[in-house]
Amino acid sequence: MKKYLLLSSLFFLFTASVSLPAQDLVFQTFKDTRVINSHSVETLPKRKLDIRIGHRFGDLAGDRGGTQTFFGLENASDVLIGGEYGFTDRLTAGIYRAKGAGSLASGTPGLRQLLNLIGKYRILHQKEDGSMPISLTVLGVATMSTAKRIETNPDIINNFPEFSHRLAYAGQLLIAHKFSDGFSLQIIPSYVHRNLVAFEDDNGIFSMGFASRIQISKVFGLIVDGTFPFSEMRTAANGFHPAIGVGLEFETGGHVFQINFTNATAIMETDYIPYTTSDWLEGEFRLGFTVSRTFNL
Amino acid sequence: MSVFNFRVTGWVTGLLLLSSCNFDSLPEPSAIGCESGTLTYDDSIQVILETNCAYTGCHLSGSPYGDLSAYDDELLSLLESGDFKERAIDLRDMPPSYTFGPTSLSEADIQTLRCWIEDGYPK
Repeated sequence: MKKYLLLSSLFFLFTASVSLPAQDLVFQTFKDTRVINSHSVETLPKRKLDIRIGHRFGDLAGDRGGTQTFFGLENASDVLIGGEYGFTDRLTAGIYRAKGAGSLASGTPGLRQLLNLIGKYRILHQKEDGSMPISLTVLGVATMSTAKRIETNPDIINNFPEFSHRLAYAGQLLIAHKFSDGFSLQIIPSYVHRNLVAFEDDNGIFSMGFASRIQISKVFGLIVDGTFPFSEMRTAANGFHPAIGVGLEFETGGHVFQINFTNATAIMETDYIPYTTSDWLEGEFRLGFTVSRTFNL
Repeated sequence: MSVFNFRVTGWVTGLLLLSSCNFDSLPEPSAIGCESGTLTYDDSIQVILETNCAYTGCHLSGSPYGDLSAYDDELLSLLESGDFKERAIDLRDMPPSYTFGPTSLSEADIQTLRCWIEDGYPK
């Protein structure tokens, strides 16, 4: 009898130690790889393909909204379509096309017709036992404008004196902690670099972002994020505002459907971080949604 | 492909992208030299819009793209939102290349429109 008990105990300990690393990890800090404007710390599982469509309508209120545009629904400020693939559980890479929507406060447009490459690598994964208190993912974005060169207007970025002026980059650290099944928090130190900027603008911009998810029912989650650029030029007095979003997210099987409101007109990091000039307090926020469908490959 | 190969590919791609980093900025915007109070919609702008924008199939009354045939709320909305300036003056992709009418604005027309907008688009 003692022999059987000993064998059973050894078997239990063995199986427990083998399965411990996987069970020990904290999963679903966020339900999706995006919050609203920001990426979340999540990466795709290996061999999953995520096809994603994002849309931002026009201003809901303010001078450009209201009944004349049916609260912005008749305008599309930015549209994104593309996909990303989980090469490993830690490494996700993808390609997206976006219209591009950001502008300077003067109305001078930023980059348009954007081809975006993204790469995400999960470096740290939060553990249940507290031995690893955070999840850490690094994100890289490279953006190229495919817009026609406008040689006759030297005052705008689309003049593109050199090919490299079509390029912009963003690098982010996504640092998150899941406090409970109902509450997760993330901070996002970022750097955005644009090869060509307007007169007296900064090529490089550091920023700090935050994101949070609050589970409000079995299916629904409340999500919120914000990005605050550190730049002397990017102040409210100069017509710039932090990109702040609030939204609802719900899961339906393989779909994650998200509906949100944000003052950012643009979707990609290289666009909305340097070029958000819409103000929530002036009614310059918009309805947006993201539809994501994941396939097994 | 092994994780090692992914890492090598990632580093190479990253280095290539970084190697094309520039720190360039546009020159100070050129002075336009507009004279305030000289341009009005009735005298100078209506003819430009009717020739280049407001004709059948494009920006006439009832168009989903916006009516540019009269000085009314639709035109003012496009002016106030900055959409008109962005498309016609900054990006210069209006009129587009596929229309039956003129496919681009002349430089003189662009300067006239720019000065009129800067002056507050008087009637």
